[in-house]
Amino acid sequence: MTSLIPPLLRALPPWLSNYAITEADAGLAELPAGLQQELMLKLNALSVPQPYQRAVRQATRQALKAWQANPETTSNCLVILSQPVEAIAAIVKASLEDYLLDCDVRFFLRSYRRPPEPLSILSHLQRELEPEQANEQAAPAAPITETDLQEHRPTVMVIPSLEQCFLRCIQGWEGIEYFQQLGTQDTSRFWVFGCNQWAWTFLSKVCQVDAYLEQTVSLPALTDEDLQTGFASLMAFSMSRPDADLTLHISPDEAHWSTLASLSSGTGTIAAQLWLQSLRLEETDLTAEGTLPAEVQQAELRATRPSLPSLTSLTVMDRYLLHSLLIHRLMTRAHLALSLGENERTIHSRVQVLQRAGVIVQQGRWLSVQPAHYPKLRSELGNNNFLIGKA
Amino acid sequence: MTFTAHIGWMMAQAVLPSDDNLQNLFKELSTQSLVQAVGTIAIAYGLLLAVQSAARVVSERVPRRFRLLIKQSVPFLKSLVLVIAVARVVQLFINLTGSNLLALTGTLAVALGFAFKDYVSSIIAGVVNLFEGSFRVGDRIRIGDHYGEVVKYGLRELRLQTPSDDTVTIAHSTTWTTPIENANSGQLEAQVITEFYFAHEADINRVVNILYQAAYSSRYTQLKLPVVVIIAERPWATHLQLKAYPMDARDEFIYKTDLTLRVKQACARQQVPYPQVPAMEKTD
Repeated sequence: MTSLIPPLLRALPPWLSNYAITEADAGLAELPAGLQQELMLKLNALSVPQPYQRAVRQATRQALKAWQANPETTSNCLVILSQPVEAIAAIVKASLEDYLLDCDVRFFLRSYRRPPEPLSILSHLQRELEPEQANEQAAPAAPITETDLQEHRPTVMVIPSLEQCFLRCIQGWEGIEYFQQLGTQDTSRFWVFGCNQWAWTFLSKVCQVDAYLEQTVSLPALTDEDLQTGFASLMAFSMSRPDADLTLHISPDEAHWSTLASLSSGTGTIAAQLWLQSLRLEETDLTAEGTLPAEVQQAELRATRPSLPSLTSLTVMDRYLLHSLLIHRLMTRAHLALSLGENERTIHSRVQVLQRAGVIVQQGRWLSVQPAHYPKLRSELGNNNFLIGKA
Repeated sequence: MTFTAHIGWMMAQAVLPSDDNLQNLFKELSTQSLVQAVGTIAIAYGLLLAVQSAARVVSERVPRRFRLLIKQSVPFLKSLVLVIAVARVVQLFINLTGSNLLALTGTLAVALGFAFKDYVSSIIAGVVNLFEGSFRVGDRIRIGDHYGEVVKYGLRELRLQTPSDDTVTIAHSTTWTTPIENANSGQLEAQVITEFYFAHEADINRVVNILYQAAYSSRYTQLKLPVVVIIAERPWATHLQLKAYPMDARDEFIYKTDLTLRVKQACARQQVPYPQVPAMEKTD
C-alpha cells in the first residue's frame, strides 16, 4: 500500500505537489556552488554502472551466439534501450569497447551529433557506412561443427545512439529507415544499436522500426546496493585548493540508498542528481556568505533524505517542448523550433523559463532535460495524453 | 391542449381534491418551515454555483486525461443537488401520501401543460440526454448550424463555445428533433480531416508520404491513434484527405494549420505541383 504513495504524489499536478514533500532538516545548509560543481564533475567521471555493462554484454553475447548458430532465421540486430536521461552512447561504448575480443567490433558515429540541417543526416550516415558496404560479404553459412563456429570471426557494427540520427520533421527519420534497410539487407554482419525508450516508442509508431530491429533489451534498474557500490569512491574524497587540500566525508545510511533507488526507479543519472541534491553541510561549518572558511581542511557532508524536486507549473507549449527533448535527448534550439513547427524566438523564451526553473540544462548549444525532473515529467506528460516510453 | 396536459387534466379530475383532501395535502405553514425552505434553496443555489465554479477551475488545471472526467461529472452533481433540494422543500410543505402525490402531479401537469410546456419539455430533454449520453460536457458537438465545445449543461439549456469564441445557448428540447454530431464522444481526441489538392501530374506516392510524415511529425498528433490518407480524383485535381487525431480535440484548428504548413513547406521543397483552378463562371 505504501508503495502506491510516491507514484500518486508524482501524479498530483505541480500546484498541489509543491506542498507534498518538504525538506525539514533544520541547521543544514546547501553546498557552496563550487563544491556542487566539483561533485558534479566527479559524478560525471564515474564509470558506467557495472549492472548496465553486464546487461549490455550479456544481451549482445546471447544475441550474437543465436545469430551465429542460425544466421538464416535469427535477427542480426540488437537494440539496447535506456531511459531518455541516460547517456546511452557512453553506456554502449563502455560496455562493448574491450569486450567482444573474438569479433571484429566497429564503432560508428561515436560522437555524432545531429547536424544543423537535419535533412543531411541520411547523406552523413551513407558517407560513414557505405565504404563498409563496398566490402560486402556473403551471410555466414550456418555452422555444422563447433569448429565452424570458432573459425568464423563475425563483424559487429555498433551504432551507439539512434536518437542523434533523426529529427521529428518531414524526412527527418530517413536515417533510421536507412538503418532498417541496412540491418535487414546486410546479414553478413551483426548490428548493435543504442536508443532511448521514448525515441524507440516514437520511431516504432512512425516508421515501424521495431518490426525491422526486433530484438531489444532494456537496461536493468539499479538496486540500492548497486548505487552504494557505484558511488563508493565519492564517500571520501579530496579537493585541491590554493590554501590547503580539503577532504570531504559522506556517510549515508542504508535507508538513504533504498530511497534513492526507489525515487530514481533505478536510473543511474537520476539517482546521481538526487544524491547530489540531498547533500548538505552544517550551517555552522559555513561562513555568512555560504562558503567554507579558508582554513577548513576536513568537512562532513550530511546526506539528507532524497526527494524529487518540485516541478514548475508547465504551460501547454512547455509540455510539447519537453516531450520533444525527451524523444531526442539532446537538441539545439534550432532543432526544437523545426521539430515543433514554431519560430525560434518563441522557443527561446520558453527555454529560458524552463532553464531558470531548472527543468532544462544546457551544455554548449545542446539542451537536455535535467534528470532529477524526469520521474515527475513522465507522469505529467503521460497524464496529458502524450505518447511516452516504457518506464 | 397538448397530450400531456390532457392526461394531467384527466388525472386531476380523477382525484379531484375534496375539502378534506386539500386540508391534508398541505402541511401547516410555520415560520420554521419557511426559514428551512429558504435555507434549503440558498444552500442548493450556493452548491450549484460552487460545483460549476470548482469544476471550471479544477478541470482546466489538472492533466488533460482528468479534464473531461471532471467536466462530465458536473451535470450529475447539479442534478443531485436539485433533486435533494426539491425533495426537501416539498417535504416541508406537503404531506406526501399516494393520493396526494397523484393529485399534485395531476394539477401540476395541467398547469405546466398550459403555461410552461416548452420549459418542461427542455428540462425533460435535458434529463433524457443526461442518461442517453449522446454528448457530455467537454465534447465537441454540432447541433443544427452550431458547432463547438459543450461548456455548460444547465437545467433548461446547454451552452456551446464556438471556434470563434462565441457562446451559443441551445434549449435541450431542440435535441428532440435535431441531429447531434459528436466529434469526440467523451474522449480527448477527435478526428480532424485536412484537405489537400494537387495537380494530376504530381508524384502521388511522394505526396502521400509527405502527408503521412506531416501527421507523424506534428507535435499535436496523437500517435497512439491511426493516421490515414484518402485519395479521390477530381476533374481538375487529385484530392487528398489526411485523417488524424490531435492529442486534444481543442487543438483541432491549430492542428489543421500546423499540418497544412508542414505539407506546404515540404511540397515547396520537393516542387510538388498544385492544380490550376479553372476559371469560375460568373453567376448573377
